[in-house]
Amino acid sequence: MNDADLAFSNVASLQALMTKGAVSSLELTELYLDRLEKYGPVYNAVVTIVHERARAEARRADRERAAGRVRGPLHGVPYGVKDLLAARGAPTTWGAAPYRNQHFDFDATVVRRLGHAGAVLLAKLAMVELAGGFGYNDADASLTGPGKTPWNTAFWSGGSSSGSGAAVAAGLVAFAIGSETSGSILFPATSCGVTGLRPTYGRVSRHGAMALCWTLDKLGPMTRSAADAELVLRAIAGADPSDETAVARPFATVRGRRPRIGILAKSTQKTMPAVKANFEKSLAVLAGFCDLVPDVALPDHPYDAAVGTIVNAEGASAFRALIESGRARELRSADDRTGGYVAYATLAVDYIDAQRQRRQMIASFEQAFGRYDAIVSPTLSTVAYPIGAPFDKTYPKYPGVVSLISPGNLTGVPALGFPNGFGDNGLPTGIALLGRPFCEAKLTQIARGYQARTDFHRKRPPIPVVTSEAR
Amino acid sequence: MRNRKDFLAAVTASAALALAAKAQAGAGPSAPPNATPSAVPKAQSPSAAALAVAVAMRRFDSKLSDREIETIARGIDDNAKAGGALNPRKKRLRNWDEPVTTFAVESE
Repeated sequence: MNDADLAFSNVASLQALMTKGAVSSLELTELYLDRLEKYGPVYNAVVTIVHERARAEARRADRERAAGRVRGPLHGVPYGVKDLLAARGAPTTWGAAPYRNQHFDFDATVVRRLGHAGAVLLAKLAMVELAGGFGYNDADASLTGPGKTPWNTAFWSGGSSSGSGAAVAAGLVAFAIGSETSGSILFPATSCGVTGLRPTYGRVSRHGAMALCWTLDKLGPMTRSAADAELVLRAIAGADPSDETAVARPFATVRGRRPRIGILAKSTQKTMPAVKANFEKSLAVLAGFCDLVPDVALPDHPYDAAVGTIVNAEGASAFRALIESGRARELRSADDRTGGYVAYATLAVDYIDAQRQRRQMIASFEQAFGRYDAIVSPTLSTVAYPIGAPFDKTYPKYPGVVSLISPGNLTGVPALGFPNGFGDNGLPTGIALLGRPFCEAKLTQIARGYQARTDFHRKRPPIPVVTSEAR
Repeated sequence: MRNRKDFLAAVTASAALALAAKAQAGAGPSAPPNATPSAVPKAQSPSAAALAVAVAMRRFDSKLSDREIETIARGIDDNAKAGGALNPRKKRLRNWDEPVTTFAVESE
């Protein structure tokens, strides 16, 4: 196995190699550190590489393995986190210039739990500034510049977990942690052709993570397979005294029958032709081991208005000090420099009405979707957006008609996005499964079945040309 | 006054007129403040009420240009439209419908 094969291996394969003694955690760590240094700048994917911490954690993992102590499936496996998670010894920039020198002297609960699982922290990965809370409208909205998808660097890696998606896709880390308020895991997972798991609200502690919206924020894995996503989720899930929303719940699976999947009605209308074609091929694969029910309608609610209002109101509160200081001017995106003031002016009655709507949304979701193990749709209506063009001027023919991203986030249910083919400009397309609360393992079970029958998740992007400037 | 937005419009309209005349036209639409991008229809000139609120943001950043003020005002108008969509025809939410306060998801 050569270095590239190692770098693109999934977590289970890396663990097997370390168990056999074919490679050590320190060797893996050095391999990924080198790739982060070499390729990270090509994709604007990295904020800070924590070399010494990584080597120390890898040496510890190797020492423990030599002494017969293996903590679990992530023992010795190197990973990265979105730079909204606190980690000792490195700045935590939230992707934004006003916080460029911010340091925390503790590890976020997710980082701490991954450490307890034996994983090795390599890097803080790039993100859209403030996780996109102030309303960016183009890719150049990060302290570290526009994230680039490894599949075609003229196109955006998606946001706001841009670096997490790109780093996994390019084999710069074995897995990464992203966050989602409304689409920030699923969007870059699709644009980068990786698997992204947005857990149920409350499944994973947010302690030590930047808050954008307390009632929407979730942390979750971005990986090279659904099996990896479940391994990582199990390591980071659970109750936490430092986050009262985090709870311990079992992982339900489908047993003794075929999974039952509802196909979201109208989900391929006004999508790119490749998105539609790949989705239909995916349904044919799923039909081989699942029962599919067509035309399952999304309950009618004002999802986009509600999620926009909640992001505005909670985001303005979370960043009130920044807004009132006038330092929003230091943000990279022109839209972000004004968006905080727009959010600040959100009416309290609108915010409360949005939260009143959510109670109805949750009830009607259960009524409409409760009999299914998953609802399936294309993740996005298009491939990745080009860098340098405003989003609202891009792909005007393919706005989509219906999407599960806002509804799923408002109702707090889990979703799993994974690659299902390629479209325009060699860019990946994606498919998403939406599940019932705390049923992430049913989604990974279905996706594992899909990935056992396809190889899109094993495809590798082209090797980038590294210029001296990029290094 | 039918509602608070009308009241706001009435008390601030006069203050905004001078700025509205001065504000530059044709600034591009800003994306909604969502965590992922989405397209919004191109806005017309912002309302006087929104302009007045936008001007008030200069207390936080005195360097906000007229163009930026107009962009903020358009966003505030978009907020108002979203607010209207939250309870269409005032039929969806009844008086006793409570908000989610402590948000929690129940398992099956």
